[in-house]
Amino acid sequence: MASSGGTVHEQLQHNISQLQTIFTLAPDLVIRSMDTEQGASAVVAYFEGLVDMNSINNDVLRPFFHSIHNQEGVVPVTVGNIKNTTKWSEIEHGLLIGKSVVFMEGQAKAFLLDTSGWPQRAIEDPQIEASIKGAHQGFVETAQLNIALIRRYIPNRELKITELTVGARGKTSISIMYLQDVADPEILTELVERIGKVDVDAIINTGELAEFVEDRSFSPFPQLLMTERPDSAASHILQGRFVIVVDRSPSVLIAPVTFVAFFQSVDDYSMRWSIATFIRLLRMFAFMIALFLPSIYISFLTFNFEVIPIQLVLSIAESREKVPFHPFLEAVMMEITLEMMREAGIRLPAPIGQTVGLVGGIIIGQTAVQAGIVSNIMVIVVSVTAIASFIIPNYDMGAAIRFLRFPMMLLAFMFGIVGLVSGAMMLVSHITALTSLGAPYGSPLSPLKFSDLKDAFVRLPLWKMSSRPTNAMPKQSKRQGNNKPDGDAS
Amino acid sequence: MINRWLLLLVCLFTLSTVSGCFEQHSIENLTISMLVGIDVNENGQLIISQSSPVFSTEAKENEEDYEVISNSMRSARDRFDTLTLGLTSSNKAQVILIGKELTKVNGWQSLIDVFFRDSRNTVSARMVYVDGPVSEIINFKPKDKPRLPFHLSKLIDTALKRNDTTRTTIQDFHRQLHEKGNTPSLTAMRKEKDIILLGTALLNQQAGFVMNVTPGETKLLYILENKTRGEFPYTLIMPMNESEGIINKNILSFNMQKIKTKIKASYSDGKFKFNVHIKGQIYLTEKLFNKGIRDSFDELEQKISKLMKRDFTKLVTKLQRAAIDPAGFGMYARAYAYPEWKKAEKNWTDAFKEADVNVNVNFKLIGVGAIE
Repeated sequence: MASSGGTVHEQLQHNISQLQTIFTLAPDLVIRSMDTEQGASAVVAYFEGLVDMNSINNDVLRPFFHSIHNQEGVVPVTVGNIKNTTKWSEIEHGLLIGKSVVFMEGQAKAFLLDTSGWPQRAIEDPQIEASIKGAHQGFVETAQLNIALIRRYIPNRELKITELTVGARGKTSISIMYLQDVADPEILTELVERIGKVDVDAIINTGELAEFVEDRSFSPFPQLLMTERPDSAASHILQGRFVIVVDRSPSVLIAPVTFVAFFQSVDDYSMRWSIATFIRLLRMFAFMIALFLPSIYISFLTFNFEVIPIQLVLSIAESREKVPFHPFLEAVMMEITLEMMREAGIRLPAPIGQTVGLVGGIIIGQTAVQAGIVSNIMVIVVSVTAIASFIIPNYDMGAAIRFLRFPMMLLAFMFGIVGLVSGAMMLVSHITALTSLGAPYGSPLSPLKFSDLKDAFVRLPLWKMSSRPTNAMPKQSKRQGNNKPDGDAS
Repeated sequence: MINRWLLLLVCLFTLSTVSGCFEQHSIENLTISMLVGIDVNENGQLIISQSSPVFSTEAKENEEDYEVISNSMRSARDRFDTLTLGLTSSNKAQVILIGKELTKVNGWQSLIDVFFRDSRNTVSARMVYVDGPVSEIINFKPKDKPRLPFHLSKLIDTALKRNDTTRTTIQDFHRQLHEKGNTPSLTAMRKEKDIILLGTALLNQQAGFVMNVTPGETKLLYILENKTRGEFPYTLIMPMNESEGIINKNILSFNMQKIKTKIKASYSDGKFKFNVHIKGQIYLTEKLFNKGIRDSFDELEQKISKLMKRDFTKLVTKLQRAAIDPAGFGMYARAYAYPEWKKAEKNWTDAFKEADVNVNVNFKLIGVGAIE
């Protein structure tokens, strides 16, 4: 586009034809000419649908017709955000993101009015990360609204936003939110640099950005926490982390995070601490179950049946007797069936969704056992595994665990318990070596940090957590004063 | 990146040598011998028998029993493999039955070597002395009892809770054989109409059978060994001068609790001396005589202690006469009089025979039950 680089002309007609050359085959571009009593004329241009029609009619067109003075440098509108420019490139971008532009006769500049009002969803309950006691506002597809939702939690001038744009065509605006006096500037530099390097057409969803900026693409584990909860995002900002808001996407990224952060939920902090601790331990236990139970089944049944109590050996062998498949095949078959069911359940529209549950009950149930395809114990193993994998509060982490189950099963099939232990060791060493934006992923276990363990696998009383977690390397580590209630005698 | 893949390959290769993919046996393809019997038949041949569960729902019986004539346990397994549907594995053996005739054979204990040498075998199977031929028990199929291996192990384990019998695993047996300060003891069992526990079978250092002691004596033996877990119910016949008809009205039953046994050993006048102090509490559970307890509380306490002392002394004398030391007095001799022990070590049971054992019993009566 040759015209993009040019500047605005004094003549109105020239500007109109320039507009028409830039946006060819764009029937939704509206160019409205206005002639006032004084004889001065002006033009308003905007994209229909991207602007708020109320704003155009009441705040732009009406004041124009009633009180135009054609004063140099003043545009008679009642819109909040006005910007004047002379560059065609800015006008083009402004129009495309829902601003309206005003040209006036005899003025070699244009006014960009923020009249944007594209189609958007109302703020609703978060869909994936439901919570019992947390707020019921989830992020929506508009970055400004999402930023506002977070600002509501932290009305502090230290909450800064670094704006970036990604995508040659999409021009997605990315806002990095952080507390300037807390967050580590080095991590910010690193983050800005990584996002700056991204050279793509467009970022459609947050997950795409995550894949471009994360530390290790080949790792099965998510290294940036994706959330659709403003309260969770705000709490991470307060801990000295960075929140990356991606325009047009209903979830934000949090970085740097640790492995254990994926097992925490906002509800943990509004429950009694002892109960929250129990639930967190339950999640860790569920993580182990989801990851290892099918492979334990395979290795015990094929290599080391000695470790099973004798009564159980008999009942397993009795129900296995009819099954013509090797335990590994049996387990893989059932696990894949389960994964298919889960995937089907997600994509199906709600009215048909019930059918999946009904049919699933037949496959993973007594009928399959009676048909002699699987054993009783296998059905229990699969069901327990499924339940355990649904307990993990973060969807990405849950998916990672569900995926890792299969290589574990293969190891168990080939090498028994030795394979299982080696697999577990590989995972541990991988998590230890992993970083999230350069910060250790395995924190607070590796590197070991006792003060951070207060809010990792357990959740101690909030008044005990007087310092921020060290993994994000905050500049200000003191988080709160002495809040210990006087109630207890000790 | 290349290095990492190389490392992974090396890891996998190392793994493949660790535990073979070839040793895989699916559980339903195994014949799990849960009961192993070793005996000698009338012709003086070694008989190895086994009982294992059958998993097939088509089979009428849920158990298969085999007996083969063989020279060793491992060669017997090879014979079993030709008989049974699955691969024979005694990894999960619950009970090892030792026939009466076998214990008369010198050096029979070397047969259990396979349980220790082959690391896939279990060492926690219970060893049982069968007062009679083993085949009687292996072929016993009662209608009102669970599978025989469960039947036997449950019989032993529950009796153990009240200390009516001993539970000696293969590993315990191995230790008892090699410990010079004691002699081995096994669970004793006999098949009559049902299978009954006889208490404890006491063996000598060469694993030859010496004698059985009753469940009551087994309890005393446990107290002497200072193994005072579980319950210790005991019944005494008190000198109360009551009638002794069908109902012996002199009977008094009680539970012993918090028992502590202290043994001190010394050596003087050419023999070992043991001072055994047994302390504990007693709670009455049954009293058939009419005499009230309230007025004679202390008297009764002393009487019980005296009678218990009598029983303990009787048992120790019995053991000394038979030249066996299942309670492990030798270990105290070693601890308290090492130079003399060192000399007597080789023939400890002979030295034990000559030893003076002085038992002191001091029980406290802490309760007489819910009624006067």
